[in-house]
Amino acid sequence: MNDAINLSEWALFLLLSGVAGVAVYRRLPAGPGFRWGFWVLGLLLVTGAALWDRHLLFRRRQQEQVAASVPHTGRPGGYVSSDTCQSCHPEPYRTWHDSYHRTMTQYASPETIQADFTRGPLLLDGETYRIGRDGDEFWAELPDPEVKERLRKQPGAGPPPRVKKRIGLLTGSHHLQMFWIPSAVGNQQLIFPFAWLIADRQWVPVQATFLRDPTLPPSVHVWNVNCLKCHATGGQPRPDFKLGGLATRVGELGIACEACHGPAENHVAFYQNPLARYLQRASASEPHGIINPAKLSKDRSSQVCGQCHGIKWIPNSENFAQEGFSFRPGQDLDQSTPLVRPTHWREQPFLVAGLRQNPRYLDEHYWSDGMVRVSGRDFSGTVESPCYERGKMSCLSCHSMHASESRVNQLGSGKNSNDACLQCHETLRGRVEQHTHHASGSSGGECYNCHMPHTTYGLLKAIRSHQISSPTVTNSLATGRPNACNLCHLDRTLDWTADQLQTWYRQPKPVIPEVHQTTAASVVWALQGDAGQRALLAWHFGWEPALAVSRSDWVAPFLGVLISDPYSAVRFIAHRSLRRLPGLDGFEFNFVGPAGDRPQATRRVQERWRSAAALASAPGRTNSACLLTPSGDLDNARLQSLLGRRDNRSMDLQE
Amino acid sequence: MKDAPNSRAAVEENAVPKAEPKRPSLGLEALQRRHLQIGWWSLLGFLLLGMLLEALHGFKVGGYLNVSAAPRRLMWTLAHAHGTLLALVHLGFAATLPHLSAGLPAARWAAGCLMAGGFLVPSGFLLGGWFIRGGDPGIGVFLVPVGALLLALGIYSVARGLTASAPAVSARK
Repeated sequence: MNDAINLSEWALFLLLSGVAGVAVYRRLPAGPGFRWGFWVLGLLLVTGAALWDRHLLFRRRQQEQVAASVPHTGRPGGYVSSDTCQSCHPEPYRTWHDSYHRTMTQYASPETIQADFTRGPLLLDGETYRIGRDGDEFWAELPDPEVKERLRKQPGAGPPPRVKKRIGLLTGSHHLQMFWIPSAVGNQQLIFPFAWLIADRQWVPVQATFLRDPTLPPSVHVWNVNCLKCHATGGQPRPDFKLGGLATRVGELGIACEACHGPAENHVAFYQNPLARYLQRASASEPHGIINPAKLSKDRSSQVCGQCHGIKWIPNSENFAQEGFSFRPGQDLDQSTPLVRPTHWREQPFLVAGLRQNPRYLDEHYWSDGMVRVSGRDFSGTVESPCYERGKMSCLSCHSMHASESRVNQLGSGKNSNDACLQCHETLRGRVEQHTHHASGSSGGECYNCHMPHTTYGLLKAIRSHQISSPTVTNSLATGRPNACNLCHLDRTLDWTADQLQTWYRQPKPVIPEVHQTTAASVVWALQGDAGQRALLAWHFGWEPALAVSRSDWVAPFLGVLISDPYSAVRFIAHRSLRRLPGLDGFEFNFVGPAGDRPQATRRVQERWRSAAALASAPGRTNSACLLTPSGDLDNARLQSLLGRRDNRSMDLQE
Repeated sequence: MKDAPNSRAAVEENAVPKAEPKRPSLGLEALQRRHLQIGWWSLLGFLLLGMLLEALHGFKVGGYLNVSAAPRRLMWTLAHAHGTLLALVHLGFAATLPHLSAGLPAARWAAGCLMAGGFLVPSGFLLGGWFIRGGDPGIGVFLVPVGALLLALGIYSVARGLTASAPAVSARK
C-alpha cells in the first residue's frame, strides 16, 4: 500500500502554478479586490488538488486491497492482455469488447453487476445472507464459508461465525450472474451461495441453477480451479503450499484476444516498428508472432474453440495446477488435453482409468451413445459430426467472432439460415422442400431444426446439439434422446414419427413399445424421462415453433406436473414455459419455494387450464395421445400411470 | 467619439497606472513583441509536441496507446490542441494590441492573463496526463480550470478594450 504523496507530481504542480501566479500577480490591476481574488483562487487551486489527490489515493488503496484478494492479472509466458490490441486493431477489439466472451469473469463494480443488492436478506437452509452496497463496493454478510465447510465434517459443531466479505469477482453477464468472495488466505474465490437470474430479476440459490439431484450434497465451487479454465485467459491456479492457499494468476479475466490468437508479446514488440507494419500490409505472408484461427486448417481452427467448448481430459503430465493449460492456438489440442470421446473409448485408455475413479463421468456429460448433452461443450458434438469428420466444416463455417449478427450466438452473416448448410450441401439448394418434406420458410424447412435439435442442456434451457445428425426413432429408443421430429410435433407419437421417417427417408421402422404407440413422445419423456429429458421437454413445451405446429392448448397440465419436479432446474424451465401459454402468462410460482407448495401449484395450473373457456371449447383438444379424454379433459389415470414409471435416477449434468 | 490619438506617446499618456510597477513596465511595442515571441515559440513547441505524439503513435508506445492509457492519450491530445490554439491567440493578441482603446495597464493585465492562462491550460493537461491513476488524470488537471478562468479574464479584457468608448489605443503611425 502506498499512501505517500507523489512528490514529483506535486513539485511540478506547484512550480507551474507559481510561474503562472507570478505572471498574473505582477500585472494585477490596482485594488484590494484583485489581490484577494488572486489569493483565494490560488488557495482554491491547491485545496482542490489536495482533495483530488486524497481521493485518488483512497481509491487506489481500495483497488490494491481488491487486487490482493483476487487472481492476479499479468501472468508470464508472453501474455500482454487485450490492453495492447486496440491501437492497431480497433474494430476487432470493439467486436470482442461487445461480446459475452469478454464478460465471462469481471471485477465486481456498479458497471458489471446487474443484480439488485438492495434486496434481502436471503435465506437458505435456515441461514441468513445479507447483501448490500457501499458506494462502488458490493458486500455480503454470511456464515463464514470456509469455517462452515470445515464444520460440516464435524457433526455437532456449532454454527460458523458470520463474516462480512466484499464481492471481488463475478461470472456471467447474459443469463445469470454468480458472485465470488475471497478466501481468508491467498486469492481463492469462493462462491456466494446465491445467483442472480438476469431476465427474471431474481436471487436464487446457486445450487438451484444446476440440473443436479437435490439429495446430493452441495457441490463446492472454487473459481480458481473450476471457472478459471474457461472464464479467464491463460489461467494458472498455482496452489501455494507455504501459504496454504492459492496464488492464482491469469493473463486476463474473461476470454480475451490471446485466448484465440495466442500470447501476443512477440507480435506487439515486432510491430512496434512502423516499417514492419507497413511491410506486413504489403505482404501476403502471415503476420509475425500471432495466430489467426480463420487461417488455420479446420481441425486446428476448431480446436481453438474446442479448448474451452470441449470436454477435455487433463493428464497429469499437463501440470495444470501450476502452469495452466499448455495448449496454445495453432497447436494440436489432442497432444496436450485430448477431447474425451466415448465413441472412441478404445483409443482413449485414460477414459477407462478415469471411469474407475468416477463411474458417473459419462452420464454427467453424454447421452448413452456418446453424444454430448451438456451446454458449452459444442466442439465435443461437432467432432462427432459427419460434416466435420468427412467434410470441411469447422466452427467458423457458421460462427464469426468479429463479424457476427448477434452477440448471443455469434453466427456469421447469413448463417442463421439454411445458407449455413447449403454452402457445402450445394446440391440441395433449390430442392430443400423436396428434401425436408416441409414448406419452405416453415420451421420444418430449416436445416438446423432437424439436424441440430435442442437436445443439449445448460443455463436453465435447451440448446442446439452441435453434433449434426438426422432424426431416427431407433436412436431415441436406444438413448432416450428426443428426436427432432417429436420435439416439434409434440402431440405425435414415436410410432407416427417412425412411419414418417420410413415413408420419406426409407428408415427401417423399429419395434415400437406400446406406450410410444399410444402416447405422444413428448408426454412420455416429460413424465417418464430422467431429469435431463424432463428439462428438455419442459423447455420445448414453451418453444414457439413447436407450439405453432402442435397447438398450445393441451400442454399446460404437463407443465403443471413439471413445476412440481424434484429438480429445481426442471421446475424453473417449466414455469418459464408455462407463462408463455395463453391464459397463463401471469402465473405466479416460486420454483425455489417450499416443496409443500408444489402440489398446490400443480392443481392451480390444472384449474386455470380447465377454466380457460376459450381453450376448453377449442376443436381438436381431444387428442388421446396427449392424454386427453374425448370430452377434452385430462386423463389423470394415464398421467399418474406414466408418472409412476418416472426415471428417478440421480442426475448431475456438468454443464 | 473622440479621434483616436495616433502616436505611441499618446498611448503612454492614456495609460495612467494606479499601482507603480516594481520594474520598468513594457511599452506597447515591447508587449507586442513579447506576445509575438510567445506565440511563435509556443507554436513551435506544440508542433514538436504534436510530432512527439505522432511518434508515440508510430511506434505504438503502450504507455500512450494502450486501453489503460486512454486518459493520458486524451490529456496529451488536449494539451497539444489547446497549446496550439493558444499560441495562435498570442499572435492574435499581439496583432490586436494597437487597436485596444482601454490603455496600457489594461493591455498589460490582459497580457498577463493570456500568458498565465495560455501556460496553465496545456501544462495542466500535460501534467494531468503524465500522472494518470486508473481512469483519472492526476492533480495537474486542476491547473486547467484556473488557466481557463484567466484566459476568460484576458479575453474579456481584450474584448472590452476594443469596444470601450475610451480613446482608442494604437501604435500605428
